[in-house]
Amino acid sequence: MAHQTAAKQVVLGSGRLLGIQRRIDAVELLGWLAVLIPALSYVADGGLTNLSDAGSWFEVINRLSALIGTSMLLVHMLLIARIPWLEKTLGLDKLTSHHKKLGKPVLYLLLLHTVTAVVSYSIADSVNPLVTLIGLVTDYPQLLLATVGVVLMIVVVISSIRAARRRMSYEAWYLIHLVSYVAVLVAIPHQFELGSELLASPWLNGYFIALYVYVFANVVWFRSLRPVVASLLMNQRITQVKKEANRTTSLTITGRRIERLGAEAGQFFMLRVMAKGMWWRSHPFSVSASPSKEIRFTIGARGDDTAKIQDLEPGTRVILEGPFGVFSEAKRTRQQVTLIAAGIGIAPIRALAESMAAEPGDITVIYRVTDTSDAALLDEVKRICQEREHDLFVLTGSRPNGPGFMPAQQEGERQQPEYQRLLTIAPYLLESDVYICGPGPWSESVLHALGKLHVAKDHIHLEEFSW
Amino acid sequence: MRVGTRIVATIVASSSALVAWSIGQQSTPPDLILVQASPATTDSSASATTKPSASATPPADNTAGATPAPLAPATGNTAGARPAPTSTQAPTAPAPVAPVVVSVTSDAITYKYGTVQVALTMTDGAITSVKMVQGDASNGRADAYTSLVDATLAAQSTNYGNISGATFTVDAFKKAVDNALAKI
Repeated sequence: MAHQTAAKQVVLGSGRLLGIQRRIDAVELLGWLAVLIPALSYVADGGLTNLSDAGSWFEVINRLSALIGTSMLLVHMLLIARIPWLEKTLGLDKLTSHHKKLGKPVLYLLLLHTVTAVVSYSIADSVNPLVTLIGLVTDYPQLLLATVGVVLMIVVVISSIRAARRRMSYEAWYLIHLVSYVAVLVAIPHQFELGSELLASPWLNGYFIALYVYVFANVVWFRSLRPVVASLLMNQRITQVKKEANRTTSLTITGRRIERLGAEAGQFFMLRVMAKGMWWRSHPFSVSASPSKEIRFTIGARGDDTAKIQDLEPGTRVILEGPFGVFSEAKRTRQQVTLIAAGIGIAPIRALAESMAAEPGDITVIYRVTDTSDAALLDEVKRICQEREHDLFVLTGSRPNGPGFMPAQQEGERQQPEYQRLLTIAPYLLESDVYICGPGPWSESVLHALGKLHVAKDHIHLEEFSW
Repeated sequence: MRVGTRIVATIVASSSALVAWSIGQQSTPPDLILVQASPATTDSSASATTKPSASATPPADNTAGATPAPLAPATGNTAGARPAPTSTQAPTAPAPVAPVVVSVTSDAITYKYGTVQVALTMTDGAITSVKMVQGDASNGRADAYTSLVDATLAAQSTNYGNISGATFTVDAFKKAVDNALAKI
């Protein structure tokens, strides 16, 4: 554990790495366990006996897909509930990617449940499934609601598949995604009022009630109430808007005891600016200076709201949700550190360079820019590296033809693969924790080079700033 | 997740699934398994003839035991065996020795798995007996009726819970009892 005392102390070493891995494994196992428990309870209750004919098979699939699908849906929601203990272990980006991966399986399971339920009843009734469906939906209002829920879920998942996301504005996707809460809520009555397993087993009933309450309480508190309450209590406001180089802007946010948010260098916040046309959506921004009594973001103008940020007036109220991310000292297990940034990715890297515990020479900073005259925060990075005696390499030049994260090599230069060039710059790379922040394709190239050098994944820490 | 953890977790998960399965084999099967196609042979003629009257009862009005089901007129119940509401009332005698016994038969309630019809007896205002007049006994439904009769006698109403796997049968049974109660 990292202890922040007056003189900063960080515990490093393989024991710490093991501890981090164990915590991640434990959390992920807990997620799987939450999904497995209802199914096991069903099986232990004799659910798999009496499998005599097609109808009973449909019934078993119906029950199992309902139990697994529902608990998976709850885990799926838990992943985006912004729960601190989960976030500190896995980090928001990993939670989000798990959430994305679970979306389709959850829908498939719940569709399977819907279809097998109708089919098994239609077999029992020996009428066609459509008649059964109409009968069920008209006789049981709970089932009508649940059917509406599953249709809404289909809409939400379709709107989230990549092809649809590309054609759709973020706004449209966001609004449709909010509907998923409705889809989940309207499906609840039929589970508790008609669900045979839940009615039969009080403890399974309690298990699902507890899970629902936990998920919704966390979503409501951490996603909406807490950020608003904190913003009002702390009076979070923009106190400074400073134009930097390369169409970037630094925003300084202050507030009463804002340090209580507990942000660390390398982390980010979801920033919601309470200005006209911007208040309804938040954006992720990395902290660009070691957080203290104030929190500073450095933001590149790249479309949508980020362009408007340059014109914000000091005094504008903001709502900070966070801090998020484990792209911080929390994941560091080695003394040597290599920080690699491109473009506006320098923001969290600068904060890390400023605040990481280090002896002179422990930290190597590599900053990839097109042009030094137009590099964000370059002066600050230079000053920090000079004061703290980090090695700084600013890689200037145009992009190579084809993939690559380094500047194109000149005609006369000795042609070398990028990983060798990287090793020349940062000879301690193989004994380092490597922190990478930059655009997606560029980060891929860095990862490729690190792969060639066999740098272990446990020591590579990545934050993409466009997601 | 690390590879080792994943392997261990998979082994543990599958062995616990096995354990759960073997526990399930030993445990008594759930009260009912509804899925098997109900033959409905025994009562087919009755259910066919009683369908019109039963359809007059709105479905889904199952939860509130207090609301008496809207009463369909007893016409159309050509099941023959159905006795008219017989009341053996003691004529306002001063000696309250003879208990007031009322017997009534419900309408035949048709639902997805067949037909349920009950004969209900009330003695001095208390439900003292519920008998099945019609009811498919396959797939463990006979057991369900036993529990439902017990529950009705205990609760003196249809205000009790559900039986696992028998939601629809329970609903139909409750409707039949409510219907009978409303006739008294």
